[in-house]
Amino acid sequence: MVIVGNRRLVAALAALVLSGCAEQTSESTIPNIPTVETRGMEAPVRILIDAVARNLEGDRHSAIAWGRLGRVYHAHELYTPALVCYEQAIRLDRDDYQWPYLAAHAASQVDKDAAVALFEQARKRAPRHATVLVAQGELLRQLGRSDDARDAFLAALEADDRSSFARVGLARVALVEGDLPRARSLLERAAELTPTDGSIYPLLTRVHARLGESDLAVRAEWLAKVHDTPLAPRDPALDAMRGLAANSHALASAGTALAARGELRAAEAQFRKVLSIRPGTPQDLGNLATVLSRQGRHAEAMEFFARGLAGSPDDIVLLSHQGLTQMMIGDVEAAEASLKRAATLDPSYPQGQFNLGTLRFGQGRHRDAIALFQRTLALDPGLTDAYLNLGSAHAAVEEFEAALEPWKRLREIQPDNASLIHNIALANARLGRLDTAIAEFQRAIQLDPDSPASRRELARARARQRQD
Amino acid sequence: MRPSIRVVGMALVVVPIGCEPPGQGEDWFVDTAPEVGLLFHHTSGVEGEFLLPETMGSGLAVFDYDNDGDLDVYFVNADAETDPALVSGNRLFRQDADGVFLDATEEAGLGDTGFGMGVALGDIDNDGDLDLLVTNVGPNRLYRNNADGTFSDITENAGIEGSRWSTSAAFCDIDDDGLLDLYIANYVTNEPPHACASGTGEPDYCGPNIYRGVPDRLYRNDGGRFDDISASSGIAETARNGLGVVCFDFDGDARDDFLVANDGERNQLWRNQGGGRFVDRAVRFGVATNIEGVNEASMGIALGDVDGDLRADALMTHLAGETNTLYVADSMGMLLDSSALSGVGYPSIADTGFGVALADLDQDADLDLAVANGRVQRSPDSAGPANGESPTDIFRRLYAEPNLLMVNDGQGRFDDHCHQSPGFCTATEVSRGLLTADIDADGDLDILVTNANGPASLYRNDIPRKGNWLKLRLADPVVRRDAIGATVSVRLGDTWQMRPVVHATSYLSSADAQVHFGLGTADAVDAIEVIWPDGTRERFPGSPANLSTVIRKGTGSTVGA
Repeated sequence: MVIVGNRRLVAALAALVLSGCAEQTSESTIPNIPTVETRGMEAPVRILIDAVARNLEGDRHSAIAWGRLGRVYHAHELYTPALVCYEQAIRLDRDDYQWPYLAAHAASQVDKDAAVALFEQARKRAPRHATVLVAQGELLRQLGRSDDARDAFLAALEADDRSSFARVGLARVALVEGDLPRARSLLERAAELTPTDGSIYPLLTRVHARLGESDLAVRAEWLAKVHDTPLAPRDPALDAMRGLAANSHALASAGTALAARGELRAAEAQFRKVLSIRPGTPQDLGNLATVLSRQGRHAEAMEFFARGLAGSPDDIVLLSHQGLTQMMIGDVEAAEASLKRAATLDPSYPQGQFNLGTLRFGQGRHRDAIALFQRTLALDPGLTDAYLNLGSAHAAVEEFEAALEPWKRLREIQPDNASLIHNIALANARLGRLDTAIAEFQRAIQLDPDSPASRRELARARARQRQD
Repeated sequence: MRPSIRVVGMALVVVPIGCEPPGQGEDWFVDTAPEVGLLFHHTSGVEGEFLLPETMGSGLAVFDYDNDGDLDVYFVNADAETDPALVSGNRLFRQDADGVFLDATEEAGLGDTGFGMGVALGDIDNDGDLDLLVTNVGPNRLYRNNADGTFSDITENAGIEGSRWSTSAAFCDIDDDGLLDLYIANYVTNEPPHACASGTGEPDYCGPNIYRGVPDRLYRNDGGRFDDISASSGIAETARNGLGVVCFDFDGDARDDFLVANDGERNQLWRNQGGGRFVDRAVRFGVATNIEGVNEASMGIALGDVDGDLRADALMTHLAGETNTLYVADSMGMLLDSSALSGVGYPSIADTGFGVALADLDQDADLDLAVANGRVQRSPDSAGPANGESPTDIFRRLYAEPNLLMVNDGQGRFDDHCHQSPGFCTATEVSRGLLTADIDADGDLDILVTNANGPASLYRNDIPRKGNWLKLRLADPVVRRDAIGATVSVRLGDTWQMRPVVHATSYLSSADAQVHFGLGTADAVDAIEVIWPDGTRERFPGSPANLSTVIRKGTGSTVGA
């Protein structure tokens, strides 16, 4: 077994960077394959590492084989052996940027100086790769090397003038340097390009507040609550590496990400793999149940909800999602029991308040629904469906002015949501604001030309306008 | 071992003009806990099940509970039953006149055996001695100091309720009625326990985000009872994973606000609106996330003016892979993540920080940084099955990390000085709580550290050729206690240094409110200025160096705002 310590690793990587990989690779320069203690690991991880290492044994002159083992180690957070493998892939393949690039990411977990050198090497191999340049810039910025970071971000912008991430990086540098107008302009453009990137709005709030732009600061502060997740540039090299992870935690995370993107069958497959690796926790069972429910497979879903709740009867997430499923299959009594219990057990769980509100709306208890949706938004302004439902509940009791308020807020986040704009148009029509209503219906039709409802209501509004 | 990167390119320590550099090879901090009888061993019931509360560690308090003029130490403990050889429950150690500590727990009545997390100090009844709250995974306990060496458990009568998982807490006066109110940070719902695994699928502690956060609590002290105003104040509106809390007037409106460090979720800065209402303005103030807009796993908080501009900056400790984050206040009171430029970010990337102190350890007139580190995710380099090890041994093997010591260059830039503090930095423990205090009353600040499932440490400050010092206690004769919420500044020539007067600090911990200044070669301070909690300002004459003194409200000359 080769035990590779960080100290040796730093020296090895530094030598590699300095040499520029000029030497020919010979048998004597090929290192032993780094191995790790695999006892105790989950079986799929152990099997994967063994298989990929065995494959490398038979193909030790292949950069791809070294790189694959490096990626497998990297995916399982085994950075030190991953770096040894990447180092060899870099030596064997002097063109592919992904080896120094992935090595830089792994090194940034243990040694940022080595990571800087590796990013530079990746940049030499892919001088116009915006993702590489942004990652390099971020590392340099974190190290306090503002000038070098700015150069990298500017190079990224040259490579891709629509990169919001390069702009955010430049804005961070500008902010630290006190150049607020520049930071504002960069962040505003980044928000136009990637409006859901949660990393933009905390900074924009600060910039507006610092510049004395109170209204804009308030709006940015709200958007920071709505979009609370920072996004990262699309990165096929990192995605491919992460996709090799075979441990249950990574599979569950992948399933969750797939479910969030609506890829329910793929998410189901991941969650089933998790259950094949470890005994199902209530969360594992709930995840599977939820994706089954979303596919309309309610009976199967109820089975997994029941299994999860058997182990954890007070799990409000499970209760809440089970209640929603019960609502969908028309078992209102059971849904009532599940959702009420979830909301009572933890009134601060926003999804629980929202689901109960949805049930109340369905029961025609619109006032209760309004209160629950309002509470949901107080707890989590980012739960966007609650804006839609709150407006609908107000509209159901003919409070169209009140309905417009949450819908207009939602429009700030979802300017191209045709259903929302249709609702806004309808409320305006009911309030007698026919000019506005007609313009909004036209906008809704522009966004969704196939919507018969919008066309029908537009015709009605025009007819009323002619009558008036 | 710490990676070699820690010592590459390290600068020499910056010392005041006229001082010689500290001697190389002399250890700046030496653990003297066994020598002085501070024999506390934390246990949390580790049995290989990887239950989240086991890994959180516990806090400590340093205060003079018996008003005999020296500092005593209170340690919180988590589990009493796994090892009968170890002392059970929380422990109070009284310092004798000769500097030896004696276990005074039983006589004082402070041996709570709940699954302990943190401790908060505060004189809740304005009788001149410090009372204390113990937070637990489960019901918290409030103890009133009877001023005779004993404490009474007044939890029920005081109205302190709940059985949540509470962590750090802070006493301060939110409504300027002279009585200290109480903020309690809560962590997560811990039911049911989940099974989690490391990157390779080995059993490991879960992160907090697998659970749901729990809203914090705010109590108003009405003179006999603490009324729960969590809902009416707005504090209960959001549920986050709270671990650290400090109170301070961040916006200069003479009302105490709360800064809460949340683990993996946005931090909160509860701005005191007056009338018992609070609004979270962390995004506006710039402390919700790091400069990347990323929520970090915030653990502990330290307040202090790191760059000498008389504004309180805040340092939060974080998970490995993240940096410790230094938020530096600007002229509008907003805070900007300056971790990269200040140098605190890079050296902290490899370790998980918990307890933290900004303190002038070398007394060169600026604030240095000490951090207690310990993993929460198992070390991949320590993989492998147990070979006859006890669960506690395995815990320490998998999660121990070296601590961190950084020295300020006087301009707000920090350099790693672990090479001069091997005793502190290479301790192989899972460290959690940390406080600085002048335990041996020699004028410099020592470091106390609690270790999860390990012995507590008292690192005596042996830095050679330190500068001079001054210790100040701010007293408000009207309320007859320390002026919690005040700030005090001292002038040395053209430069000022500022300290906030707080009890709650670091991680799960609470300290005596006396403030300490390092003065470098100066043998006196030229002036002292205090901003009292009600916003009034007073200036006091200077003071010779190397003494402790009390500044009383109303005895100085008033300064216009």
